[in-house]
Amino acid sequence: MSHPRKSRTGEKFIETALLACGMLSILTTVGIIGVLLFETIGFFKEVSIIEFFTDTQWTPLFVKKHFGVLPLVAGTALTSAIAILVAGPLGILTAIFLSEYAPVRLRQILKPILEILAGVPTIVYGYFALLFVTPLLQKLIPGLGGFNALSPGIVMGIMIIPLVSSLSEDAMYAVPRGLREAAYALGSSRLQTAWQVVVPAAFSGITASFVIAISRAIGETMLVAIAAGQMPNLTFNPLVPIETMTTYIVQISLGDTPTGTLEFRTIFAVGMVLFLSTFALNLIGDFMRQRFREQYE
Amino acid sequence: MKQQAKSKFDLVLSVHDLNAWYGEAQVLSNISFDVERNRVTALIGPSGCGKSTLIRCFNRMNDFIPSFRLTGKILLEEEDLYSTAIDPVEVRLRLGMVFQKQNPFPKSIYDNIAYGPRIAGIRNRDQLDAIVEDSLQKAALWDEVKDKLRDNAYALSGGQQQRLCIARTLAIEPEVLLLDEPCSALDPIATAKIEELILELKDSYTVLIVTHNMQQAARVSHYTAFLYLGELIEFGLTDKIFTNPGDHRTEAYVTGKFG
Amino acid sequence: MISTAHTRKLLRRQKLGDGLFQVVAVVGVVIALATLGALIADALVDGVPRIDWKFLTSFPSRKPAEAGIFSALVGSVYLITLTAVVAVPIGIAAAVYLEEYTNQSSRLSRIIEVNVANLAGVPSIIYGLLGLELFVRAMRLERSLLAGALTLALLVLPIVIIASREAIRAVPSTIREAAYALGATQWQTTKDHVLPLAFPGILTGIILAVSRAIGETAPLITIGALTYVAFVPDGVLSPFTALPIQIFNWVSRPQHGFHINAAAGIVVLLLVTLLLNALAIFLRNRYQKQYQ
Repeated sequence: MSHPRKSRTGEKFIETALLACGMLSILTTVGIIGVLLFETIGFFKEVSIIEFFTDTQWTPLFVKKHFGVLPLVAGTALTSAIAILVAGPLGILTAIFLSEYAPVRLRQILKPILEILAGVPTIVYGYFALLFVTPLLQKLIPGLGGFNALSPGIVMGIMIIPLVSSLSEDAMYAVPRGLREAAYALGSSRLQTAWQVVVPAAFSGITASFVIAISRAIGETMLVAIAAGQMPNLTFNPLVPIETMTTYIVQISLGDTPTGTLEFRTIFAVGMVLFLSTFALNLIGDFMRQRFREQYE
Repeated sequence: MKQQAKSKFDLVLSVHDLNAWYGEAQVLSNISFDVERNRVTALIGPSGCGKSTLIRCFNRMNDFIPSFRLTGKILLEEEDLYSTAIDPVEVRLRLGMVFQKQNPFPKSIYDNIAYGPRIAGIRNRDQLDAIVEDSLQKAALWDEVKDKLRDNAYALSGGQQQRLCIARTLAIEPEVLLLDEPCSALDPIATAKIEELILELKDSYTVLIVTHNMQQAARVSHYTAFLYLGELIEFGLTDKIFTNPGDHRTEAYVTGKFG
Repeated sequence: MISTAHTRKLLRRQKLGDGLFQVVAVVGVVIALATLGALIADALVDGVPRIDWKFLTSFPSRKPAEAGIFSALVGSVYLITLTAVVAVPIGIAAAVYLEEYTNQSSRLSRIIEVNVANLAGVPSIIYGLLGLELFVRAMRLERSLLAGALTLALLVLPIVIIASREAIRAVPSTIREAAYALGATQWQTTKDHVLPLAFPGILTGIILAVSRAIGETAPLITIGALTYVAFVPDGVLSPFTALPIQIFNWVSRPQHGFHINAAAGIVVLLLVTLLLNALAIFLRNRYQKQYQ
C-alpha cells in the first residue's frame, strides 16, 4: 500500500483558526478594558478624580452638577451587604446540610432545584422584589418606601444562595474522608465534625464562595434597577430608595442623553469602578479556591 | 555497542543509539538493535524498564507528551522516522499499534475497521467491505462477528475487542505491527486466543511485542530484547535468551528472580 | 476513665445538637425553596389568567389589556438564534484549541484559561458597555439585532468554552491514541472521535448558554434595545426588542394592568428558561452516568 504524503496545510489552517477563536476571549478582555479606559480618561479630563471619589453628591443630569460616585458606591455596597448577610448563612447551612447530612436521594433532588434557583432570569427576581416582597415588608415595617435597598437585597441574597452553597460544598467535598473519619473515631457527632473539622478545613473555599458571591451581587443589575430606586443617596439606611452603580448605567441608557457628552461618559467611569471592583474580587476568590484545591493534592 | 540479530538478512527496522527523556529523567539509554522482516521480536523487562516507552518511539506516539525528548535514530527501510522531512502521520500508517487496554471506538464493528482505510481515502463501498472482511479474517474474529457488523463494538467481550483492535490495525496494512502488552487487560482464555493469532501472523508480518509475561515471549517470538532500567541488556534469539543468557541480569529475570 | 453516666450525658447533648442543627439547616433549605415556590406562584397567579393566544400574537400597546408580546417573542427568538450561531462555533473551537492543540501548561493556554474564568465573572452590564462602544458605535451597527446578538455572544462565550472543555477533557485518551495510531491527523482525531463523544456535554453547555442569553436584560438595555417595538424585525440590522426588555418596560410602569402583563410575560420567560435548564441538568446527569 502506498502512502501519499498528505498536505498538512489544511491542518495548519485549522489550527490557526482554532487559535484565533481562543484569542477572541483575550480580545474581549482587552476590548472591555480598552473601552472603559478610553471613555474614563475622557471623563477625567473634565472632572477631577478627587471630586469623583470624595464628593458626596451624584447629580450629573442636574443643572448644578456633582460627580461624586460615593452615593452610587454606597447604594451598591448596601444592597450587596444585605444580600451576603442573607446568602452567607443560608448558603453555608445548605452546603453543610447537602454535604454532611442529606441522604443521597434528597441531595439528588435538592441540587437541581437549587440550580434552577440560579437559572431564573434576574428580571423575574426584580418583579418579585418590587411587587411581592416589598408590599409584604411594608406590612411589617411601617414607613418602608416603595423603592428601598432591603427588599432587593434580601431577594438578591436568596438568588445567590446556590452560588455560595455549591462553591462551599465543593470545598467541603474536597476535605479528605480521613479527616472526617478521624473526628468520628474520636467520638465527634456529625455536627461537631461538620463545624470543627470540615468547615475549618474548607475555610478558604468557603471564603472564596463569599467573595465570588459578593462580586456577583455588586454586578447585579435588573433586580436593583427595578426595586431599589433611582435616587443616588449616600446612606446606609436600607428602608429608603437608593441607586446602585448598575442602576445608574441602566437609567442613562434608557434616557435620551446624547452619546459623546460628559453626562454620557459618566456611565463608563461608573462602569470602570464596577469592573475593577468585581474583577479584583473574582481574582481574590479564584486565588483562594486554587489554594484549597492545592492543599489536598 | 550494537547488538545485532544473528542473520543480518533483510532488516526492516534498525535502532541506533536511542536515548530518551521525560523532562530531566532519562528513560532510555543507548539502545541499538535491528528487527528482521516477518519475524516476531519481543521486548521484555520488569515494570518501568522503558519497554513501553521504546515501542511508542517507533510510531511516534511519544510526540504527544510535551516533556518527551529523544536522540539517536530509528530507521525504517533506511528512512529515519524522526527526520524533519517525514510526517508523523505517515509513520503511524506504516507502523500500526495495538495498545495495552483494548480501545475500540464507540462505533459499529464495521466502522471501527473501516476508519483507517476511510481516512486514507478509500471511499468505495465494495473495497471497504472487502478490507473489513479480510482484516477480521486475519484477526480470527470474522466467524464470531460476521452477522453483527453493525453492532456497537462495546458489545463485544474484552478479548474480542482486543482482536477487533488488531483487525483495525491490520486494515491499514502496516509494514510493522507494534503490540504494547496486548494481553495485559485480558483473562487467560482471551490471552490464549491472542497468542494463537500472533503465531498465525508471525510469518507474514514483522511484529514487535512488549510483554511482561515471559512464557508469552518464549512462545511467540523469534527474537527477544531484555531491557532493564532503560538499557538494552541483551538481545538475541529467543531460545538463547531463555536457555543460555549471556548476562546475569537477564538470567535473573528470565528465571523469575525479580520483576 | 470517663464514667458511663457522663458519656451518656455527653451523647445526649451531641444528639440534641445534631437534631437542632438539622432543624436549622432544613429551615434554611426550606427558605430557599419556599422563595422559589413563592416567586413562581406569584407570577403564575398574576400572569396565567392573562395569557391567551391574543397576548402571544399582539404587539405592545398603550392600553394594558390590548398589549401583547409578539414582537418581543419574535425578537428574542431571532436574537438567541443569532447569538448561538456566533457563540457556539467560536466557543467550541476555543475549547478544542485549549484542550487538544496546546500544551496544557504553556503560557498562552494558561493566560487564556485565567482570562476565560475572569470573563465569566464580569457583570453582564459591562458587556453592554463594550457592545455599545464596539458594535453600536465603532462598527456602526446601530441598535440592531446583530449588535445585540454579538454582545450576548461575547457574554455567553465563557459558558460555552468552559462546558466544552470539560466535555472534551472527559473523552478517554485511549480513543485519541487509537485514532492517531491508525494514521489520523490531529483534526481528523478531533472531528471524528473527540467531538462526537464530547457532544452531550457540549450540548449541555450550549443549552445553559442559550438559557442565560434569553433572560439577559441589562446588556441589551445598555446597547439601546428599544422598549416599545410594534413591528417584527425584518433583518439582522433591524431595531428590535426582546422578552425581558418588554417585561422590564411593563414592570417599570405604575399601572396595575401593565404589572399583570409583566407577570404573564414572566410566565412565558420562566417556562422557556426552566425547561431549558431542566433539559440541561437531565442531559448532564445522563452523560455523567455514561462515563462513571
